[in-house]
Amino acid sequence: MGHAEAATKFNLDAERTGWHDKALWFVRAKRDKAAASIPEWEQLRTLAEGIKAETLNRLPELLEQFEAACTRNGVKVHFAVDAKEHNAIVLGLLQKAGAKKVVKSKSMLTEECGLNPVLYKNNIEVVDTDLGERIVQLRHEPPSHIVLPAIHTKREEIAELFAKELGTDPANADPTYLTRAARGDIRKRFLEADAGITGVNFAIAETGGIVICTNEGNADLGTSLPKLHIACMGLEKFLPKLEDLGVFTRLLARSATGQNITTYTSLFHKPRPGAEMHIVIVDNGRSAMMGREEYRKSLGCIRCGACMNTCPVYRRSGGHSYGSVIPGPIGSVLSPGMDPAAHSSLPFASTLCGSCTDVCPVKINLHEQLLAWRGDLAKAGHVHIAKRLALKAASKVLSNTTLYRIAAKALRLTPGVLMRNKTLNPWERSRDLPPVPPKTFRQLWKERKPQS
Amino acid sequence: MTSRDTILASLRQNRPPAPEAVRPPSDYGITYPDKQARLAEALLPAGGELIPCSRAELAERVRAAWPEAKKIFAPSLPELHNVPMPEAGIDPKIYDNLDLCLIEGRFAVAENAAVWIPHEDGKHRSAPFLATNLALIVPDGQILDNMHQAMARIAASPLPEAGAFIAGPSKTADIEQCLVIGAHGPCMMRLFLVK
Ligand code: SF4
Repeated sequence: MGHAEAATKFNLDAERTGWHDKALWFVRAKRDKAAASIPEWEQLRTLAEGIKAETLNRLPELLEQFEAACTRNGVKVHFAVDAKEHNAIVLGLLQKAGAKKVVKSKSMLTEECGLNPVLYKNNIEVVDTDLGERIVQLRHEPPSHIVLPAIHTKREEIAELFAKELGTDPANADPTYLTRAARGDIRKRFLEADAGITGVNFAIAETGGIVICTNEGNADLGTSLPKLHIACMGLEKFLPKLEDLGVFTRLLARSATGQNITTYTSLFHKPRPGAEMHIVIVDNGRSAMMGREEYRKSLGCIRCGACMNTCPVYRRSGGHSYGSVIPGPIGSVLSPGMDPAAHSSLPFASTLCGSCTDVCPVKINLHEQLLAWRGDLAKAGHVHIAKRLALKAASKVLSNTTLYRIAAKALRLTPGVLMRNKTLNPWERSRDLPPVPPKTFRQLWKERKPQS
Repeated sequence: MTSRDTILASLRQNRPPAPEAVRPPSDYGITYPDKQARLAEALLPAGGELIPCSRAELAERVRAAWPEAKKIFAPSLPELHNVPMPEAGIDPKIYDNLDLCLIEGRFAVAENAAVWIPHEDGKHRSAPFLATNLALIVPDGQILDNMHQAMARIAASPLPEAGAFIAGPSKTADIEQCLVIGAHGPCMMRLFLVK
């Protein structure tokens, strides 16, 4: 199913679509307020863009520098070319330690690699500890947003779920009550865990440090209790120096949720005495993406989710309609790079309004990349013939003055019943097109322009 | 070829051209005429509360803030501390269900109310996250304006084994974007700014 079909399904529930749209717009509005409170905000974005560009250029050296620093710090670094190797490394580490119970904090990379099912198959219990991720884990579905994994679920649905899974009162959908119930259950799991798996927000090449940002404190509990910490990261997460965190910690939370900083910004350099720390660095298509000039900038993404919150298509179609691990504008440029055939509909899930590009804290030119993907996918034969023909026709009409004028006239002659028909014209389904003005711009211009 | 070498070779082959290096100047970033006022203001939306007091009255003020607290972890205030002392090899789980954890922070950041807590030799890494209530202590002369100053300060100090910036109590808004204070970590946090 392509994005359009999945989105249509989501839109069948008009009330929910509106609710989803509003919830995300609320987050977007908070981001705007936070950004406006920093006078140097636009400069910060330019700095972040520049530091990420430098990182990509120096990546091989930064990686080696990071590995050497980790070795000095007593941290073991592993490399995985793809998802399969990543999962094998993590499984191997857990098995070697005899770990049966694992707590995991948010990591989009382990979602991308499909780690959980592999661990389940090997009789290892994994508990996603971020509340949103726990909700979707219990619902047996993937996250629908990279920062707000359960943004598509309503409190009543969570009350029902927790009643079944945690024995709470099904009639009580109070968020504090539900959060406390999850806290109690997950606290036990933290204390029993044999290992903690985390993601990585930033890796510091110079010092061999990794930085993890959360609001819930779940990554800190997951790393301070068990004796084994495995951190999984894509190879694009590097920053050259510790000081660079100044720029990025100022941008991340403000862009993501409108907070000035996440509650916890935790820096790890060495394992606790008597504990082990491992870092798994994953390529999985990233180094190849680096070779593609028009798309490489997408590797600078810090996974703040701002582009989703602002996207008119994401807000009204829901994260699951993308059918990719990362939804929204950034997912729509990353996913076709991984598997063009499977994700060919995603670059079309955009109005190209450019709002994503405007909010992106690292200034990724998202809407330009979406447009570039449309061309590349069409050239590679991944775009449906009907869409290709329609676009060809549109390009003919729009680039030819005579044809354009005829089309404009035809539009004015089309009877209203046809234009307003909700079956024939999908644009009319949930909105009313404004009436076509009786005269074209050209006609008005002719009438107004003083004849000279 | 090992995976490591495969990845490095691929990165070298696909290396983009070198951009111009950009870094903020050393005095970069927002500053505040009244850092303490800004710190108090930034702590509110983070869910915390600022309490200025003197060193001498600290123990008393902490007690007054949490009169019900029984199990208290406060290595720097022996008159309050009543659980096993953190020492090498201690089981981090013993600090589960602490009513209160009191930790000395190095400095606070005015722009976002984050307090820098370096974890020294892993002895008490778990306590500030397991406790139900958190008291952070920062000397009143140790307020920095912004995160650039904060990172410069950390980079100039001996490399910490680990550490955390903590801004307020733990929180989540994963249920319908409703803010709930007290996710997996502390449900209440106060920052004592001591003279
Ligand atoms: S592309 Fe930009 S806005 Fe979107 S998640 Fe990544 S960093 Fe955030």
